[in-house]
Amino acid sequence: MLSGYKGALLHIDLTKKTSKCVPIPEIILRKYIGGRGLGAKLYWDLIPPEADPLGPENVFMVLSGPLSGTMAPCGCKHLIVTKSPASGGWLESYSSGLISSEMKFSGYDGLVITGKAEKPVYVTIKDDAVGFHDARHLWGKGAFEVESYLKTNFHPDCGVITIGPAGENLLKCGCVGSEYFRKAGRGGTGAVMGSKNLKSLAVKGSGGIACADIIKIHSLIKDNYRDFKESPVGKARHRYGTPLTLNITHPAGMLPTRNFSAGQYEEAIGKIDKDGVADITIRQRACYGCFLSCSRMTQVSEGIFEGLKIEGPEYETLAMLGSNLAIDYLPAIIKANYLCDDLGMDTISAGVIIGFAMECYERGILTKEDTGGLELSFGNYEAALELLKLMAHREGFGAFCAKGVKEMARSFGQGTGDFAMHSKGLEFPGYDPRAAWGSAITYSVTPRGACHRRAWPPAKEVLGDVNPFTTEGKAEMVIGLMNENSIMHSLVVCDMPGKFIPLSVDDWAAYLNAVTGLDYSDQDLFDRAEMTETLIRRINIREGLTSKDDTLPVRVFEESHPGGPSKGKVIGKDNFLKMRAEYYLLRGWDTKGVPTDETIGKFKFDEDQAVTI
Amino acid sequence: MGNRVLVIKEENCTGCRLCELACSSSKEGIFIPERSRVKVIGDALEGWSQPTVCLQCEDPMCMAVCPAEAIFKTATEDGDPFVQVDKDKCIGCRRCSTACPFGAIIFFPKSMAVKCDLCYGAPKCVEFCFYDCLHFLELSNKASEKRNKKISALTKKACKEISDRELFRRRAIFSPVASKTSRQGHH
Repeated sequence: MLSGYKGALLHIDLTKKTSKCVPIPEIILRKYIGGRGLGAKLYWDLIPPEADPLGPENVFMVLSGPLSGTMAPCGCKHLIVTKSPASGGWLESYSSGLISSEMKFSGYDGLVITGKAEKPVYVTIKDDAVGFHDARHLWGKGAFEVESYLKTNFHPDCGVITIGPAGENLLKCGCVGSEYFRKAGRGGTGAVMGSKNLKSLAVKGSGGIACADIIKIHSLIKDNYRDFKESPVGKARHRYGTPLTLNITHPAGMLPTRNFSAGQYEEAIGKIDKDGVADITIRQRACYGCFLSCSRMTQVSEGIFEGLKIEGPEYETLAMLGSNLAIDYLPAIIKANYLCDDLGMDTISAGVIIGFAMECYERGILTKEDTGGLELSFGNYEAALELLKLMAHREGFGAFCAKGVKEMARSFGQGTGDFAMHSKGLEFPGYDPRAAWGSAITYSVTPRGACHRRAWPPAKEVLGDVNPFTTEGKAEMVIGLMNENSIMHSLVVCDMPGKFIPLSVDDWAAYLNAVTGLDYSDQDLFDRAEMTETLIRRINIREGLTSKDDTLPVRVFEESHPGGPSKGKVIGKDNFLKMRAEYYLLRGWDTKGVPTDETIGKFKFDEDQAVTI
Repeated sequence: MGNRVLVIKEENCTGCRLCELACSSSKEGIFIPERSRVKVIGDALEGWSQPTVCLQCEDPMCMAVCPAEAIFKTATEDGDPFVQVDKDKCIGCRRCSTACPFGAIIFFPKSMAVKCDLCYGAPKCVEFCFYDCLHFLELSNKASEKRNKKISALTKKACKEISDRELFRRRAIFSPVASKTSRQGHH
C-alpha cells in the first residue's frame, strides 16, 4: 500500500450491526487522493439518487486524507460526506479533532456508515474491534456530556464525533461535534447521524502511519514554522485567531449586520472583535498536530454569564450571532456559542435563522403571538438564546425556525424570500457579497450551498489588490481559490495554514510527496481539483439540482448597503449571471452548468472501478 | 552541560501534541503516538493540557523492582543522567510499569519496556515544541539536588496513595483467583 494510506475503509451497517473492512484500490487513491476527492468518488458510487437524506439509504462517511495523522500543519481534519438535508445534494463538512488520525491508527482511511439502528446506539472502534452499544441513556443529552462519557468509558485519547439534541431532532443546522468545540457545522450532518439513531462514534487505534520520508516532513515543518513566525499575517493570526477577521470585514463593509441589512457594525469594534476576545482570552489552544495554535480558550469575567468558558468564539460566530443580530454583548455571544456547541447546532445557520426571524418580527410579519411571546427585536440576546434552545428541541416557535430560512420564507410568503439569506437551503456565512462580488459567485456555485470555506474571495478582494466591485475576472479568481481549497480538502488539511503561513500548492505537494513517496507536481493537484469539482457537479446534477439553484436572494442583487465602501453599489442580477456564465464556461460546463461530454471524457470517470461495499 | 533535564512549562502547552508525533516518528520511524515516550494529558472541555514524561529519577522505582536488572542509570555524551532499559535483558514482566508512580513506562511490542531516553541528549519533543512548553535545561548542582529531593518525596507520597487505592482493588480482583490456585493443590 501507498505510504500515508491504509488502503481500506471500514463499512459499518447500523441496521444489521455488522462491520467489515473494504479495501480501496491504490489506483483510486492515486487518482482521487483522499478527503474531498475520494469522498466525491464514494458519493457517486454509493449514494443512490433516490436516497432520502434522512433515510436509512443515505450513507454517512467520515474520511481522512493522506496527510491526516502526520505532522503536516493541521492534518487533524476529518470530513463528513453525505447527502445534504439542507440542499438534497452533495454535502461535505470539515472539522478537526482526533478522529481522522485515530481512524488511520486503527487501519482505515475512512468510515462508511449505512442503514439505521433500531434504537439509539453509539459505536466504538478499537483497531479491528467494532462495538455497537445502547445509547438510550445518552439520547437527549448535550454533546459535551456525551463526549466526556466516551472519553471516560471508552478511552481518554479517543477520537470522537457526537451529535446533540439538534441532530437527534433532525435540524438542517444540526452539526457533528468533535473535541467539544469543533464542529462539522454546515448542512445538517448532525441530522443524518440523528436519522440513523447514531448518537456518537469513537475511535482509538494502536497502529501507526508509515511515510516515505519522515526526515523530510520534519524539515518541512520547521521551515514552515519559521516562515509562519516571520510572517506578519501569521503573527497577527497567532495572536488574535479568527476574531481578527471582524476587523477586516467591518471596514470592508461586508460584516453581516441586522440580517444583512448593513455591512458595518460600529458597536462591534472593541467589544466583539479581536480586542474584545483578546481581553477575555485565558489560553492559546491548538488543533491536534498543528503549530498555528489559532484557537483560544476564553472565559467570561463578569456579568450574568460570569465564569462561562469556551474554546472560541470564532469569527463566524461573532458575526452571525453577534453583528447579524445587532448583539454587541460578547458574553451573550459566548453563551450562544456554548449552547450551539452543546446542542449540536451550527452557529452560522442558527445566526442567520434568528436574524431572519428578527427582521420579520420588526417588519410586523411575525408577531409576539407567533413567536410564543419572544420579543425578537434585533439586539435582544435573551430572546435569541431562548430561541436557540427552542430550535434544538423543536419546541414552540423554535420548531418552525428549525426548518431553516428557505422553508420559513416559503411559509411566510410576502416577499420574505428576498431577504432569506441562503443558497440551496444553506444559510449565508459571515461575508456579505455586496462588498466584494467574488463571494456572490462562491456562494451560488459552491456545491453544498452558501459557503465561505471552498473559496475565500476576501483574500484577493479585500486583503489583495483585486477591485471588489467588478465582475471582471471574478469567475477565474474564484475557480483558482476553489481549486486550491479543493486540493487542501483532499489532502485533508485545514485551509488556515495555507493563508496564515502562507503555503502554496507547491508546498502542499512537497508534504504529499514526502508522505506518499510519489511525485505529484502542483499541476497534477490542480488537475485533480478540476476533476473533483466536476465530479461533484455531476453528483448535484444527478440529484436534480440545476443552474436555477445556483442563485442568491434578491437582497444581494438589488439592495445596496446604507454605508461603508459598498454604499450605493448594487451587483445587479445581470452582472451576477455574467460571472456565473463565465464560471460554468471556465469549468468546462455548458450554459446550464452541466459538465460537457468533452469535460467528463477528459477525466476518464468511466474507466474507474466502482467502489462497492 | 551535564545536568540537563526535561522541564515542562505547562501553562504554555497548546495541546497540539506535536511532541508525541515528533517522539514517535523519530523513535519508531512512523507516526504512532501510542508509542510516544512523552504523553500529553488534558481536558479539552476545560481547555488545559500538558505533556508528561519520565523524570529520570535519581533513585528510580522502575530500576529497583526490575528482576532482570534490565533497567539501569546512565548518561548522555554530555553527562545528562537518564534511566535506560536494556531491551535484550527485559523479560516483559511489567513490574517497572506497575512501580513507576508517574506512568512513564510503556510496553510494546507486547512485552518490551520502553521509556524516554532524552534522545541521548537532543530530545525531539523539545525540538518540535514551538510554544516553549517543553525545555531541556541545565540545572545547577544545587537545583538538581533540590529537584531530586522533591521527586523522591513525591515518589514516596505517590507510592502511599497508589498502594492505599490499589490494595482493595488487587485484593478483590486477583486474590480470590490466587486462592483458587492454592486449593487446586489440595484434593
